[in-house]
Amino acid sequence: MSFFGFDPTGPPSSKRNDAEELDFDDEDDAFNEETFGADVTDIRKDFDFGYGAKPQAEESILKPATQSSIKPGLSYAKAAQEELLQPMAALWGDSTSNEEERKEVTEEKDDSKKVLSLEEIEAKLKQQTPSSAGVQGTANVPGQPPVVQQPQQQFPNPYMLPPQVQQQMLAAAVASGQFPNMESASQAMAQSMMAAAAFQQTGMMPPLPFMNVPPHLQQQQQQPGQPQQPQQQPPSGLPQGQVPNQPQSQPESQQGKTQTAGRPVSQPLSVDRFPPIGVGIEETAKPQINQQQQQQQQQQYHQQQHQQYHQQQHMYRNNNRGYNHQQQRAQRRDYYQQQLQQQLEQMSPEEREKFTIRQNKVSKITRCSGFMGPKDKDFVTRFQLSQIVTEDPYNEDFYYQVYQIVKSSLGGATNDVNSIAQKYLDQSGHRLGGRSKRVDIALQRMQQQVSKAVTVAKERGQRSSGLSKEGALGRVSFGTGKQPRQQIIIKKEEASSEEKDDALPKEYKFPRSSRSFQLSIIEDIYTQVLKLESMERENQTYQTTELWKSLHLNDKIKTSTDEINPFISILSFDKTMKVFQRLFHFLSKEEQEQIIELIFTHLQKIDIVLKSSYKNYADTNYSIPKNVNDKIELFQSTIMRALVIYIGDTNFQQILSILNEIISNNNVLFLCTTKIGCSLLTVIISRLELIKQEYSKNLSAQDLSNWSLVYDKLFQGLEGRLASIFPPFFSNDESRKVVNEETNKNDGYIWQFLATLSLGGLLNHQRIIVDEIRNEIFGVMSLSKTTKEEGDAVKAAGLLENLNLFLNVMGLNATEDDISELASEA
Amino acid sequence: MSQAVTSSVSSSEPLDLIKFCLDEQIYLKLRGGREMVGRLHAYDSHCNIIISDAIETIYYIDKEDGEMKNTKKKSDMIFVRGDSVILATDATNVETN
Repeated sequence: MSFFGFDPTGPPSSKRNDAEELDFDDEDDAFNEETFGADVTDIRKDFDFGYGAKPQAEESILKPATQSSIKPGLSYAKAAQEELLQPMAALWGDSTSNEEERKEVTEEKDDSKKVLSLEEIEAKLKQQTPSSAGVQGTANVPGQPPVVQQPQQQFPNPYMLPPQVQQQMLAAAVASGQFPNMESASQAMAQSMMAAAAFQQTGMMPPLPFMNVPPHLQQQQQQPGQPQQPQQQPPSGLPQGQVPNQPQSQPESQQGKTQTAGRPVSQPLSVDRFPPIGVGIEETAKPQINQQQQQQQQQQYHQQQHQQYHQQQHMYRNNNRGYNHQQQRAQRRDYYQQQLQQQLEQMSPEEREKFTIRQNKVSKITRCSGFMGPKDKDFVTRFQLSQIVTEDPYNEDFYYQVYQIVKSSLGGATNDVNSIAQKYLDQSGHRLGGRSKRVDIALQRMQQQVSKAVTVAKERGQRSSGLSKEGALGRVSFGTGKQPRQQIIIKKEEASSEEKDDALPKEYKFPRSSRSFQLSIIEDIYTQVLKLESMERENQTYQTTELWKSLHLNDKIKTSTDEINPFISILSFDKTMKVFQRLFHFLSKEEQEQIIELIFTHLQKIDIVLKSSYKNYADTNYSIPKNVNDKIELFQSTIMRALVIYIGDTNFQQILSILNEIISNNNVLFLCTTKIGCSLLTVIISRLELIKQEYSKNLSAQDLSNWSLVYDKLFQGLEGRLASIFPPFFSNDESRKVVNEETNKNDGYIWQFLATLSLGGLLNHQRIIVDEIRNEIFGVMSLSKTTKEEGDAVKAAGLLENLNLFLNVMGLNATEDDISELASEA
Repeated sequence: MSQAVTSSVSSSEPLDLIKFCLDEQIYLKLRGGREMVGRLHAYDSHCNIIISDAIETIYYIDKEDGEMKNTKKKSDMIFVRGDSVILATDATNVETN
């Protein structure tokens, strides 16, 4: 009599099968171990195909039923059956009905059984050999159960699959985009499947002893197992069609089904009776082979049942899906708690306290972990990055770019995308590389994210024109990193606004003389300059016509008393001075010429030149206000500097014409009362003299006579009032002298001016100059003398030095006491 | 060549009026009876404003005699959060007391 018609003596072919199957089984060593348990010795004992196994089997069936502790070798056949039969539970109903049923039968066993099965798994996992881990490949993550754990929906029965198939599946999962890489895919599986997988293992126990048990016994054997099934059974534990093991489980599950119907349960089985683990692993393969062999035989004999099984299986899957999901979470929690308890028991009180604190921390951190999938995380990073990155960093992120340049000039240059990625990682606390500790991978991924984000930002830039409605005042814009709030963008006036001026409401117009008008011109200039600078950075060709237009060089403003050029009127604003060199740089040679000419022509109309004359401050003891002094300094360092550089590059004729412009359009005497005017004239005259002396060959007689004509004109303007060049606070003429906070400043510029003036002049010019400022000269000499007597030799020498700057031009030299011929030439 | 004096330049956005004051003295009226005058360095669409060399005037009513008094505070550089700004204008438009 054989079970399922199986002939215990076995057909001769079975031996051949044995040999054939050998390779396969060896290969799947790890799975065998996992699937069937590591207790091989016992397997062998039981596995004797009905040769006198009867009493043993009987024993194993009856005894263990009441035992709650692990008893090796006796009952794993039942356990296996039980597991295999489990899916049937789903057929009866959902989880609640299962639970009820279970409670009826084995209330008090519930906990212990569950617990123990988990323990067992854990122990098993610990015992797993490296070789098995190797077979499973990427699925093994250190610190996690090295079981192959895969999403049940996708891989219902991972244990039965050859490793390469699993690999393929993993790869497919990765390719589908669910997981960024193999590692994370398998990790995700491992996490979600931890507990469920444990049950799968038990579920896969081969029904070895069952084979040699006579049918009637087997019936008994199976009964007790049924009530417990619902609780342990994950649907994924079900055997599958494409797997070799399948036929073996098929008859059983079917049997279980038929038996379950209405049969009262008397002896619940528990997993407790699973064989102990950790026995020799190499041996696992052998019984497995036998088993397989038998399976094959069964397969041959029971085609019918096979088909039935398939139907069943479909039903299991459909029914169990939702139920299983719910359980997973609970199971996982239980599993961790269980582990925790075990660990705690082994610790000393201090250790335990530490551990508990640490555990609390960890659980706090991980409480909400895992809610976001890799896709969600990627989305968030990309979203955040898309706010950071910009297509036009120099305009939108100017200060950071400059900072980067400064920084990279100190250190090494950095790739833009890399630096953003690195920065993001640093800021978001991901620099450790996450769970896998792979900083390079994290960085690499972030770089990908950044480049994606740049693309997104570009696209966004294209459509950020916003919603525009015909006739509406503005349009709805979308929030960006720079404009976080939605706001209405007021339509910008087109370039042709001048024509449309009349259409504008009154309040939007500024009278041309107003300060607002000047300020608006300046902002316009800045806008143009920034635009051009941005184009220059990107090596684009640019047109300066708009900039030129924005300067309003040919406009005139009428004030109550005068007509003034807008550009001249804005030159005294700090911000215009600051931008002058930047805009000057963009202008063509002709435009530069034009602008310089304009400035020199209107020199005394420039507000700051006007204000820098000491004559404005007669009421306040000639002390110049601080803000004016600041502006003078700024003017000198910006506009005047540009002018001086320009003059240095210009030919004699042009400079001469500039000087002529100055003289004809300005009150030279007034200009000379200002530091700016004085200095500019000094520069121009000395440049002319320099060219005349160094390159006189290149100059025509016409040029030279022009120069002397212009000089005469200049001198006429000053003659007779040369002494007024000296501001009272610099004057050493007792009759004009005023002492204020300016007095101690350097008056060198005045002596320089006088020196160049006398340099350009003839002897009679020089004589007039000396004659007019005689009082100043002697004043300096006497001051120098008293200063020296007071002990400040340095200052005294400085005073004389400035004086001699002038005197030396005429071949004279001054000391504290006397003026003599310059001795050096003698 | 001069153009007609009547022509004028327009501002197209409200905040342009603040933009014009960049690098110039600006006057801010703030919540809580405060005024501030200083050089405008930066502003944004929320009217957050950074000014330097600022003089803040805080007006209050003296509890003893019930008169309005003020104290002044100076700051080299200060950030004014936009939600406290009631009014912003070129400081030349405001008579300083």
